[in-house]
Amino acid sequence: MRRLAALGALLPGLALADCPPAAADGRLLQQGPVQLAWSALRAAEPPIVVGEHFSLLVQVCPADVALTRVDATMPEHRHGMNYRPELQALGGGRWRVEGLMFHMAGRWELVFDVAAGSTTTRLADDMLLR
Amino acid sequence: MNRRRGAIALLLVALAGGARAELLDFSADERARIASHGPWPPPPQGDASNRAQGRPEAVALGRLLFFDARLSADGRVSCASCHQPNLGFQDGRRTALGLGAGSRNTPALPDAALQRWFGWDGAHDSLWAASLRAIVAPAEMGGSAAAVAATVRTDPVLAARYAAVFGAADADGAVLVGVAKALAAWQATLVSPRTAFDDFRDALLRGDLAAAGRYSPAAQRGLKLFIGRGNCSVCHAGPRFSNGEFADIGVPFFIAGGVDAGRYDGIRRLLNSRYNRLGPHNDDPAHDARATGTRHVRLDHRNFGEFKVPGLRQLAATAPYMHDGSLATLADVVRHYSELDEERLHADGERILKPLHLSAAESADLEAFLLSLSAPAGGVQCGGSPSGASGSGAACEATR
Repeated sequence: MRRLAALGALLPGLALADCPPAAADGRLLQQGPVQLAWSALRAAEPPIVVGEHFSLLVQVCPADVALTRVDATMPEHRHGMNYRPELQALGGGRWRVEGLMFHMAGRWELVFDVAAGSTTTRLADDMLLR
Repeated sequence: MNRRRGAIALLLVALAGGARAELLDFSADERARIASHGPWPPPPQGDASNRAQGRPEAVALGRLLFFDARLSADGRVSCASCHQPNLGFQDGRRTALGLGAGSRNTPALPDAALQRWFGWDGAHDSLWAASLRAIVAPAEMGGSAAAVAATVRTDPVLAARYAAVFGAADADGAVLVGVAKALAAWQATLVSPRTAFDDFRDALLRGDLAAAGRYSPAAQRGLKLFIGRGNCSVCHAGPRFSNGEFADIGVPFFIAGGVDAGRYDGIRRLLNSRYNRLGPHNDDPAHDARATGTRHVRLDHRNFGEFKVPGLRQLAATAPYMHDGSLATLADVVRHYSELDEERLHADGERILKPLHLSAAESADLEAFLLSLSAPAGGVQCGGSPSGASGSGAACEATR
């Protein structure tokens, strides 16, 4: 099923939902009925390095809700990223997020806003970047 | 403040001949942080936006052009007038002096190929765009596309070398861009030499405690401050000791006749420039991963008065310091952070910036560490010599 969903992400029109997300889809978050998994991508390992741009693959469930915003802040530093991510729907609740960069080591809070009709749900994740 | 030397465990390492070296006890976390500042030198980085970068004939052409004052409006100023090889490719002045007086300190050029943004305000996203700006800026070289193209066409050596890289020198604007890209190709070969810090880092990582212990105890203590309580490595990160971004560190931004808005204006100029990576002069936009920064950069109010976090390699050769050259010595820089005036920081600025309140001994240690990031002057590697080999020191000066 996951292979089919990945194929759907590559082939527009063959978008298949893959809900609920699994650990293999990345870090799992849940807020009420909304579930989300995210994983980071970069040309080289590790995927997230101080001062290097990276992308995210996000799986949102249920698949018919919309990912409307992704951003990140450093709460202890009182600032966010210097770059504005862009979201691309891949179908089946999958999204690609481009243009992120964590420009300092420390604690980052990654925020996902998901909209279903007029209701927006915010999911957040913490990570410590060394 | 007590230096607390007694609280820091020392490893006394026996060396051949009975000499002993001192190695402080670095925790696993500290070792990981130290490792992140290398290895050095890094592998060469290409630039998809510049088809000339990495081509030996372009490097040689760029080297010729770098020392050629005919690119300036009155034939008096070359790139090397401000970026002097014997001064770490800087000029030793507080602020730059080209055809006119500038308001910012001349940035050094070694390791420029590793940077994302160019200029203290990051108004350029490539080395070639920054080079082009310097040629045509009235206060720098004051040149023009027409004059630069005429110089290339009428000098047989330049004309032949230009043609070998870019083809015929036809439209003036295209020649100006080609000249800038050749200049960038040469500057991209400038690499800082290995330092005492690099030898220490590598020895520590491979477990050669005797070799690591040869690093001066003062520099080791300064390093602990740099990656620890000083929080210096939060911004001065990675092998270049810069995260490549921008910060307001409380250096005044008032200049004669107004203010220097720094990054705020830099982003606006970047996005309005037809010479950025999203513009028509990018040689391979489909494969230019470095355009990501330009595509996604965000303009915020807090960018006002921010300036680029400079790399720290070879900084011993590039005094004075800060974007306005207002601090004459490294000791002044350390004092700036020790006595940081929080009133000068943005209300919405970086919250972790606090005065370090260093003791005299701690200040000396931090300065010793910073000095260990420099090798003796003249160690910068460069390419493009007539023989095609890379060299350093005097080998990086003008040849024709």
